[in-house]
Amino acid sequence: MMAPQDSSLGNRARLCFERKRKRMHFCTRIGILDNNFLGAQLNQSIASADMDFNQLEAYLTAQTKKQGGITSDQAAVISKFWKSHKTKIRESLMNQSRWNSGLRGLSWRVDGKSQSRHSAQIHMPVAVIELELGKYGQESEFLCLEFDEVKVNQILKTLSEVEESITTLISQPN
Amino acid sequence: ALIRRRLFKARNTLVDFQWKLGMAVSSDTCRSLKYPYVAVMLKVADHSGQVKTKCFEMTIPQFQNFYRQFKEIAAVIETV
Repeated sequence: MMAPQDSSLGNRARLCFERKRKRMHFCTRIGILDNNFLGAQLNQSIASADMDFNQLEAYLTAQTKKQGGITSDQAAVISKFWKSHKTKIRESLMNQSRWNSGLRGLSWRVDGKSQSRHSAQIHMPVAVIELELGKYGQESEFLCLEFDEVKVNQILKTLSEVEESITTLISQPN
Repeated sequence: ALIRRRLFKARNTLVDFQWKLGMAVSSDTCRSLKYPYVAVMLKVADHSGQVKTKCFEMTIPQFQNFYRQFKEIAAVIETV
């Protein structure tokens, strides 16, 4: 794409790019950012501002009009890249900013206990739930929980309160 | 087979379930994050009675799936 103006700028561009690489590694997969400091800057600005497509087009158009900016062909390539990768890039940025464990998976089974040595309980169904949790870039941890019917219904009530809060939040104007 | 082995491991009982709804606004890697998330803190007791705390976060779609699965569990457990 764009060659650096001189070798010293190229070296500085490579160093800057390498530092940004950890955050922008997804961009190198399409090979448009090798030795391209301005390209890395543009993509970082676009990702950081979470631009929608109208904002993206306006931003790239403005970049083509700047001195030392990009050509309209380069703008078209960047625009195409963002249109096909925006969702994945946004997900990646969201995951990187989450420092707690995330919920990676949930498996469950319901067992029917029919008899017990120590008590006369019959037909006590039990839900066994396995949560797969994990921090960004780390291996999963599995948490196994047992619930009786009463507990399941208590959790369900709590989750409906969470959903109510979400509905309230989404319905509020920004 | 793997799921079966894991489900037979030590099971914990849930002692407490706390939650909060947060909004991630901005970070050093992304100035415009703007996503809501559900943060959960579970207190779980193992077979010896020892209580541990486990925290995790869910995006809204993840939470909706979590809620849907619990509704399925409730529907099944009622019929067993």
